[in-house]
Amino acid sequence: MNSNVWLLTFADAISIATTLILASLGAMITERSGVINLGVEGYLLMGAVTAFVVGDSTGQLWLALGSSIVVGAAMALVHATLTVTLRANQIVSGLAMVIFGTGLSQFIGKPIEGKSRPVIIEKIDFGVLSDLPIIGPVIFGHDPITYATWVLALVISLYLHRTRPGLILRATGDAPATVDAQGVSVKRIRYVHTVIGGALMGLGGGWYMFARAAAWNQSATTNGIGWIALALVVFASWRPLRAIAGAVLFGFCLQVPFTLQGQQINILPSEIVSMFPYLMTLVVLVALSTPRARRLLGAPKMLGQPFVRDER
Amino acid sequence: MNLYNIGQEGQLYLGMVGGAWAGIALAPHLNQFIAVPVVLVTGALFGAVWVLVPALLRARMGTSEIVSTLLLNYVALNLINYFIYGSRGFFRDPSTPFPQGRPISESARFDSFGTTNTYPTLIISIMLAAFLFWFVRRSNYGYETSVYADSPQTARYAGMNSIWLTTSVLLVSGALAGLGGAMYVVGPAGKVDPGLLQTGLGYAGIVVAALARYNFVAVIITAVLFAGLRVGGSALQASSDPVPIAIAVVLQGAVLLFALGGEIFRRNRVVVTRVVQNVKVSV
Repeated sequence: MNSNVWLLTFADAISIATTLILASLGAMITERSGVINLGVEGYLLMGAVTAFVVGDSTGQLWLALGSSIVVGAAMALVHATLTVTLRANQIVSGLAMVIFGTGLSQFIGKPIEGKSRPVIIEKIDFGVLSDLPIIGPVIFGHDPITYATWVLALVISLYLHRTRPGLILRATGDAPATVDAQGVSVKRIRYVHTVIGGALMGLGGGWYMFARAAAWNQSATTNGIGWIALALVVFASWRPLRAIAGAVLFGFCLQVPFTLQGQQINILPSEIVSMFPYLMTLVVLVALSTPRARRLLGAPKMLGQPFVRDER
Repeated sequence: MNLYNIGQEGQLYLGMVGGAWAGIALAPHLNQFIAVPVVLVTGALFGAVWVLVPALLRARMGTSEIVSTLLLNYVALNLINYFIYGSRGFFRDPSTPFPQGRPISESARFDSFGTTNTYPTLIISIMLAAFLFWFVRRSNYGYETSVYADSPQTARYAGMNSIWLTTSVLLVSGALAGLGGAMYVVGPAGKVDPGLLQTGLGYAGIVVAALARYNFVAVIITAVLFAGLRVGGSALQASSDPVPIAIAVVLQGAVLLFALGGEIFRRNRVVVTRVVQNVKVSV
């Protein structure tokens, strides 16, 4: 085996990280406002199937991605209505959304099952730069959405830590009563950020469909990436830029089984190797649960707590 | 107890594996009357073992049991695929090149009632639900779990062992899911059947529990309702104008979402008061 293969695996990891980054950025800003959205897997699936269906009937890539954003936002709006206005249990609502999204995407996706994707996202051609050894494939070998995602992570990071609305957002997750006392509507902030978060998850699903999945597959399209994205939020300690590094690491773990298979390396059966990303996510979660790590992480303090003005 | 075991899916698979193992390896040496119980208990044990690591992590370190149990679902899924498709091991039927599970001993299987697809395991399930309903209300243990659910601090001050409570509750949850998997082996499947992987019964179980508002007896009713949805979905798929079976899952999700939205009417009751006006009627 040569080092070139691992280089390509790494480049693939950076590519696959796009969905992970988008999904975990979405989950992150949702959670920053104090709302947990466990439905990521459902949003990704719905985003993917929507993008496929729209792309299939119109042939328009950007329209397809746009509609997956709309679908993600719409699902998040339902989640926000249930959890913020109706104060339903956020965890159960998120899980209901996973089940609903899984079912609906399978239902919509039935007629297109096995069909190959209608449009693909072209990689940007950087000319000479793309041909450079090592950094060519790793840095200059991706599509526009991947680069946009990196910029987005930076923008969200600046928004969170350098702007006034970002400050209010963080305060809403940590101390909603204080925000309320300042005369800012907690509900509005939670609604807005839950919906934006859902939109990002939807886009993550749509991008995944066109860039990574070969065809819509009833049950195995996203394969638990949504759950890995949730673990990634913890791993990145609710900070957008760390999500990029984490996503590449997790993306690498997701990619390794394919590389080993492609290289005909059969040290372990492929089914066993496929367990690896999930086990590794679990190990990371455990490592982050030590008291010391917890102090450093800084999870939003009122995460998952509905805010009711009269109850203190 | 404010704990969410989302790993029923995986624990169900492991229960199926455990049940099949007992049915193949142990049952032929056993008396017919204890073969089935042994298979069921083994399945329950396997289910509990599958949740052991998340349970201990949650109890000792506070690792989110939601994500950890869920991640293990994907591990369990790959494990079943390995047993049936990836290897020629113990669980695969050696008599055929077609990848399918090795059948368990006939002595460890239940017959269905008459011509129906209903198995005696249904009675066991209902009895268990009734027992748990009684147990959590009347036992010391049930009381401690409900105190812990309302206020972990109170439970701690009262000297309750939170590590034990958390671990044991999750283990029981895993064992019940595992028992479900073993019942599938004892009843319709009779082997490790990868067909179970497509049904999403474990996830449906979570919806059933949430819809029953975590009431053990109400679970029986919501479970039958959901089973009806699923069977109806299969019938639709098999009809002349087929509708994908996924419609059943969509409905399950939608039912839960609406039920959640309706919760607020239970918490905040709408009271209609009739205003009686005293009208003086002049004579």
